[in-house]
Amino acid sequence: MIPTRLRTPLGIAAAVVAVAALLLLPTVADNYTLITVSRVAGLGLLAASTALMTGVAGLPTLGQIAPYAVGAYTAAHLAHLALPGLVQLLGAAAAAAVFSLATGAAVVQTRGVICLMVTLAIGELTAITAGQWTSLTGGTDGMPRVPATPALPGGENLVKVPDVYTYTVVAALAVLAVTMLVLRSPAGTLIRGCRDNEARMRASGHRVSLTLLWTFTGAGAIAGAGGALLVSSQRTVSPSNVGFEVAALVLLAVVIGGAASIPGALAGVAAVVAVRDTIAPKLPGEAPLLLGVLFIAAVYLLPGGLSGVAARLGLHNGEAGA
Amino acid sequence: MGKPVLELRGTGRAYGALKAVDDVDLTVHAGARHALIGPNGAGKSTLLHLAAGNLRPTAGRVLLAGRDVTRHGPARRARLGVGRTFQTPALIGSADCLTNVALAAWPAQTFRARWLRRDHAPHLARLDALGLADDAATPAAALSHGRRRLLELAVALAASPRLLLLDEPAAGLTDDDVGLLLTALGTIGAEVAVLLVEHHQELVRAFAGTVTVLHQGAVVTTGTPAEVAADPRVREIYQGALGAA
Ligand SMILES: Nc1ncnc2c1ncn2[C@@H]1O[C@H](COP(=O)(O)OP(=O)(O)OP(=O)(O)O)[C@@H](O)[C@H]1O
Ligand SMILES: [Mg+2]
Repeated sequence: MIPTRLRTPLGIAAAVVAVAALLLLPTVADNYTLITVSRVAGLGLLAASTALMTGVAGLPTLGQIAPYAVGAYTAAHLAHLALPGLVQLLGAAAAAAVFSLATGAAVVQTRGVICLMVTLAIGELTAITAGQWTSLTGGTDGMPRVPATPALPGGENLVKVPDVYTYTVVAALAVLAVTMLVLRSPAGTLIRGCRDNEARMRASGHRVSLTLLWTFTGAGAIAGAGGALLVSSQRTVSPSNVGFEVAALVLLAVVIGGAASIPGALAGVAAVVAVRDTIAPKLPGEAPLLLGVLFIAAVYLLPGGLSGVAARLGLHNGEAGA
Repeated sequence: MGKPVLELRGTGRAYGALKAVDDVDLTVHAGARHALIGPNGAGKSTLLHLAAGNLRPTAGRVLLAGRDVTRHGPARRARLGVGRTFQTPALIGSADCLTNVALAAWPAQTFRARWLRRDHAPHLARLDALGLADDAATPAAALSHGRRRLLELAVALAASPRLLLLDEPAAGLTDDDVGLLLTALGTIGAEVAVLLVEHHQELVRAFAGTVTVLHQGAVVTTGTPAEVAADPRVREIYQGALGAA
């Protein structure tokens, strides 16, 4: 009923080309490239989750790493039970959603910097818990040997690199597609309404906190699915995968991407990981500095982030995206 | 006079020592056209916030149709039939005008109407009544200040409220737009009670059947526009709002 923004034809074409390129990559790329991209798939969902909270719902967060961790450890346990990838993915999303629902009541009462601090605390507590609850998480060693499983019941185990790649990329694209469809539905309008003007939403009878709580729960499920894909691609998980560095990296990627745009967040992740993996090794120990410079450059040179640039190029029509 | 729709009973709101609204008793009856006037800082906006639930009173009670809603938040009161506009228009800036109206109608609709039926006709009619039909696809943030006020009125009406609280709807409007506003106010059904805060004297005179004068947070008097205009206390503390009517 509610018309959200119409995609421009150029933007749709760009999305189709990007998806096709990702799906066809195994026919041309070497295993190293495929492994790298499949590991970024999980981070991409974490970034999408962060963009959903920060840009679409207007609650800046450093804490989506927490449901991501819950999802990763859940998936690792489900893999040990020899359950297929799809079950790991759904189980991880469900566990992360429950976790977010439980922690969300406090988060959705906060705004701005306070929200950033509360979510940072939740993320840090989760990382500490992951390091200390040895019986559940393997402690600081994590869970180093997650068994290979099939994607679907009865399928072949995902061991060959192209298979792992295809599973993680298709699963990530499916989660992203669902997310973007939801954000185009009236539910997305509702979420953006809460971001734009709470007083108006309340004056029109909308339950703002409840809407934000459901959004936080959904964003948690997306991050949890990302955690499951991390485990599927690297077959290990440890506290270093779910620590502050990863959370900060992803927030940086989301800011670079333009905060309110999920495709922008994905582009931001790609940019940040590319910088980290290509330039940073040549500057040992300076990686945080490099990312800091990237961050400042993004804020000054790309107002509106990568999605703002895309809007100016006519790839989509900017503002309040999904 | 109809039944009371809104009752403030000994209602007050203090900020430290400052009593922005002080022990106010005010009744708005069903179908009323009630204006609330007073000099700057009199507490008019604060009183609307107390009625709509944006502020909790520090004293007294608020009743809607006889029901104590003192502790209810603004969303719950809205669902009980309170619609409002703000002194600074509150709109969904990134959404177009049509979506702003549709979102406001939403809580009053069934699930099916919200998600499945794409019936924009009533929303477009609301926009048209306020001269906004051409802006249906324009994001609210791109409208001029005056147009935003008119859109907010369309939004407030979209939920079919029983009580409509308007905070200076004519402020910043061109004369043409004030004309549109007055026509739109004239088409509001008799089942809707309107409490209007306004400095625009012609608007108050043309629209209001009852006028309450607020000064330093307290009610000075309530009466017909003529009675209020003739009241020497009003002339003393509040010059000009009703002119020499
Ligand atoms: N949040 C607040 N904190 C402290 N004082 C406040 C606050 N809000 C309002 N006030 C004070 O309360 C008094 C009433 O304010 P209010 O906005 O209700 O007046 P008003 O009648 O709407 O004025 P105007 O015609 O200028 O809109 C003013 O003295 C104002 O400074
Ligand atoms: Mg005011």
